[in-house]
Amino acid sequence: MQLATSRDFLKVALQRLDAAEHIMAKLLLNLESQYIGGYSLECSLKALILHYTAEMDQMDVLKDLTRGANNHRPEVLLNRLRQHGIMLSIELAKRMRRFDWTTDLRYETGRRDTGETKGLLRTVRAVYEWAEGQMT
Amino acid sequence: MTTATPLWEAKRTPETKMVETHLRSFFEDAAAYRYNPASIRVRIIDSRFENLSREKRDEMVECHLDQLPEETQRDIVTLFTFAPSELQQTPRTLREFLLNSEFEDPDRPML
Repeated sequence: MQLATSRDFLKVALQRLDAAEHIMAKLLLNLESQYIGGYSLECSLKALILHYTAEMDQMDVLKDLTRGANNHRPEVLLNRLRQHGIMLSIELAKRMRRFDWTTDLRYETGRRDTGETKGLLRTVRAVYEWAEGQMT
Repeated sequence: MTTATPLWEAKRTPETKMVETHLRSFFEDAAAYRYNPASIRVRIIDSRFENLSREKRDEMVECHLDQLPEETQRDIVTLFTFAPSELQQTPRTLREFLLNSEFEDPDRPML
């Protein structure tokens, strides 16, 4: 399916988040849960960027957001949001500090700490809810 | 022989130097730089982090970050905490190697 709107990105974010929580709760695969969960946060931020983008610019921004490895970095996406005047609250910024997700996780094997994984998933959900709140 | 200056050092600002000075009062080493207008990256190295979980390390650091100006706190969205042993020439884990590489080379492309 071709993503088109900010709402589509938000739906993807929720689906990845649900999957990550399920993988954690039912399969206890915390590394895989973190890997999938990280993409949810990425999609929440991308949804917000598109939401604040003028309609006439949306296609160009969409093309840009879906290309280039740098657009996996939350810091890069947060900077784009800052350009729209959107900033994290201090509480969300604190959560982000603990979010050390990168696509490099795919090179890892084994397991990760359960408490750390639950914390990461709480951050992902908090960012999803923040993005959803900004868009309603 | 001259030693090349790490890329990240060029990104230090008066604000990030203030963060370093503050954190060095509490930890063995602290480095910080501005990655972009929305993000300050902080790396802390301390032997007390040895064998501690990420959460425990963050707890040790957060109370000190809380003392910084609010605008600075809001921009610190990346925090790396390492025990000295995790940054040895042959890293013990791929994770520590990749995370430190991320701090040391801000322009490192993601694959």
